Amino acid sequence: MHGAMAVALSVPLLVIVWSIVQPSTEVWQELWATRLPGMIRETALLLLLVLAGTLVLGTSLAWLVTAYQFPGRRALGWLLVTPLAIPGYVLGFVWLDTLQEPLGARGVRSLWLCALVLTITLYPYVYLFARAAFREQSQRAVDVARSLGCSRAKAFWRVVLPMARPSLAAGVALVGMEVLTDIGTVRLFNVSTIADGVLRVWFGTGNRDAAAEFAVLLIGVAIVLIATERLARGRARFTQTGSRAGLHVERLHGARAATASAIGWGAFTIAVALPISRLIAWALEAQRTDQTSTVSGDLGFHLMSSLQVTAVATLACLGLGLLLVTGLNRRRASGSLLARLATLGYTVPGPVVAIGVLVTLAAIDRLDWLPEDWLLVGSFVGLIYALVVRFLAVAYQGIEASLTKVSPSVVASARTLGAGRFRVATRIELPLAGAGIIAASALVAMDMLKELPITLILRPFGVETLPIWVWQATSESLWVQAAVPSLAIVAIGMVLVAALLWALERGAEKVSPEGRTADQVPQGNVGRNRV
Amino acid sequence: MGATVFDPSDVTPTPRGTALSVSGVTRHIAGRDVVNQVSFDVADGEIVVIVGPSGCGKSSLLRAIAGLDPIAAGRVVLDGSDITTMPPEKRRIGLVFQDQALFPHRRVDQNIAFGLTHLDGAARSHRVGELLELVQLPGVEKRYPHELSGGEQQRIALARALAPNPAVVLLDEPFAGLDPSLRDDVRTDVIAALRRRNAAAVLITHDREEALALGDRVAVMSEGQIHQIDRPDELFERPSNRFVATFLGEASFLPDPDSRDVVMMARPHDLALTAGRGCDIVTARRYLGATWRCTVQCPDGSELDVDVAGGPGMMPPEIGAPCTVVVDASHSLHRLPA
Repeated sequence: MHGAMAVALSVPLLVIVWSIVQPSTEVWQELWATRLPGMIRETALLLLLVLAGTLVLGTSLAWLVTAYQFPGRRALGWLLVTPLAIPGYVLGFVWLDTLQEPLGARGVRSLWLCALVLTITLYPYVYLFARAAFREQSQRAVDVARSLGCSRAKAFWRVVLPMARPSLAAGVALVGMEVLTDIGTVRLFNVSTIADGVLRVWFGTGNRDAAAEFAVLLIGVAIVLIATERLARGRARFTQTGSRAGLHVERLHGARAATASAIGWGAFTIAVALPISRLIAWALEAQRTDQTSTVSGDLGFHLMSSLQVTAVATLACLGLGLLLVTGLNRRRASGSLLARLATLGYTVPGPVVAIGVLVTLAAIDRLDWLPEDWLLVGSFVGLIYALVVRFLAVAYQGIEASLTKVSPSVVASARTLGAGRFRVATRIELPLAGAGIIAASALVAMDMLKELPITLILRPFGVETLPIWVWQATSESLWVQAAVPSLAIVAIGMVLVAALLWALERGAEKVSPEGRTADQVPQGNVGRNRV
Repeated sequence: MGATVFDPSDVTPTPRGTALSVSGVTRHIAGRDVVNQVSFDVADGEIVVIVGPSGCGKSSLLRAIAGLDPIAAGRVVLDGSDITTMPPEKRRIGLVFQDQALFPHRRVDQNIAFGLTHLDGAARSHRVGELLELVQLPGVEKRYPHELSGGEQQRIALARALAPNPAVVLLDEPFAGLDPSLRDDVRTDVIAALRRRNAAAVLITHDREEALALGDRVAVMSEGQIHQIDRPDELFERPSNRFVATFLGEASFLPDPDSRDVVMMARPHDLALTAGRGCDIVTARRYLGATWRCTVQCPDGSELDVDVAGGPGMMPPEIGAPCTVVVDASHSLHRLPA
């Protein structure tokens, strides 16, 4: 049963890979001769810039709030995660408008600015991972390094940073995936990436096969991204044995404390405070000029659409995730293979998943198994199916990580004390793993809420989510109209970020008997990209 | 008893220079003196063991000597130069922790060579080989720490600490994390390596047997202060106060007939027990292999620990049986403040 489920979730991707076996050469040739080389170049450059940018920004902000004590440190610790709630396509148009004056209408739509915007909205991934890694490190390694002749700064470069590398790489890999998938932001800045190309081929020619072949390119890039990190890691391990007392915190005074505060608040202002205040100003203007609705309906209608899709898809991911985690025996090779198959979607960009699902659903529709007039293409079920294929990994890995954190000896103790399987699950495992599962749900919901390409391609008639509204308004450069749905996304996003942070902190408080603190839970939850 | 008498004067070290001198070192943490006016010297090639219950401030003292934490008062002098305010990386002090703190992302050779940045490639790998030879683990250069056993990791940690030729090595509970069956061997190997290097060392432990077995001199510490520092046998036989006496081993205190200000310390082997008659009562007994250690209650309510010879056919007194305890020592009992 579980096996069939896992296979069902991987079909759309296998369909895409299969498509290159019979290439539709004429579309390819035309693309190769015209736009493709440029797309590959722009994708690579954008990827490189954003990876480097988020790595530097995320790591240094995480180091700032973990290694130093200064006014505002506590608040900044979680405020610096909040850019996660603002999608790139929202931050993008805010900055586009803000910088239009000084840079001019043409100058502002550049790859460099696009990279900057993506860096600002995506750095929290690296930040969360880096912070968890720094918190987990023991001061002892630093002490030894210093006794062996390293200054504080040198010990950071030679010991702290290298030991955090796998976490940083995992964070950066997530960022990479987001950049490859991004449609909304790159379109704003007129950057033509491969993902954008898939969408253009699909909407331009309607040629499913050509779009699918194009999509294979993206899978290729994603695989290269992950493989590079795997290879670089080699045999080395990065976890320390023994005490996890954490790094010593240095108290800053005077000018240095002020500088640290300024850096933290500066980052928050640029990434969150300024954009939100501009959105509010626009939303008020929209209110005044009565632009708070679209042809398809008002804010309430779009909000309901978004909440519906987000809630149903998140619950589906959680349910399937729980079933797979508990049902598959991951110690057996077949079990781990099936788990990997089912969670393949996360390494594959949204437009690719969408087209894979479309091809699959169309094939099923052609078989005429379903009652007359029932079509999967363009149905709500089809949309949810695609969203689950894409984001199941987020839920699966979060649930798996939290459940494996529950020590087997705790479960064994409960069983010998007379608790049955059900009581163990509800009284022991869920309370211990609950925080981790909530964190995973918050992350899944965040992805669903911001999702654009899949919804854009697969949405049934009558489903118009908030991101679709933003997309339509910004395509016409109608910033004022885009402000209302953007604010709604940000508001729901903030609630989800708060839930995520709450769950991460709760998880960190719980300590299992072997002294392995559960603050490895955030690792597991955010570490959803371990393929 | 009484087969070969151990003569401590045999091992009295010949006069040597002072490697490390700690004087009046004090550390405050949250308004409390965790280390209070601690002073001691370590001679060249000498191993000083600091022993005390957990939380007595011994680790804090070690961190202060290494320069990892600031001190409120006092001086640390290494090889004749004052290093009190020097950052740890300049001090030439090696560190070994209980959990080894090997860098998990570096191979064994990269771990050992970490402090050898001043050497070029060839000299460095030569030195790494030399150190692996010293800790008797040749050939593991290319392994990662997690591919070694706990005992091997601890020896690599020592090799890494010794690599830059430190003036003194500080070891913080280096054997506490090891499996008991391994501990003895690793202990022997580590001490042997230190001896071969003629390295001065300060070792911290909460295990009194380890302290007595390993130290040229042993310092007993509690509540931030060193109570007494001396050769292990002196410390065991002539403790300066009750804490030192009882921390190092079981001891009973008998009133001194001549003075009310002092008591006489009796180790269990200083006393003898005659079962069957008397007004003392056996209240508990523990089998230690060679002996039975009996707890006896005296009529005045005080308790004494007495060793009774074990061995084939030797039955210990029954619990609750009356008995008589007498002092049976070839020496006069040590007197210490009441």
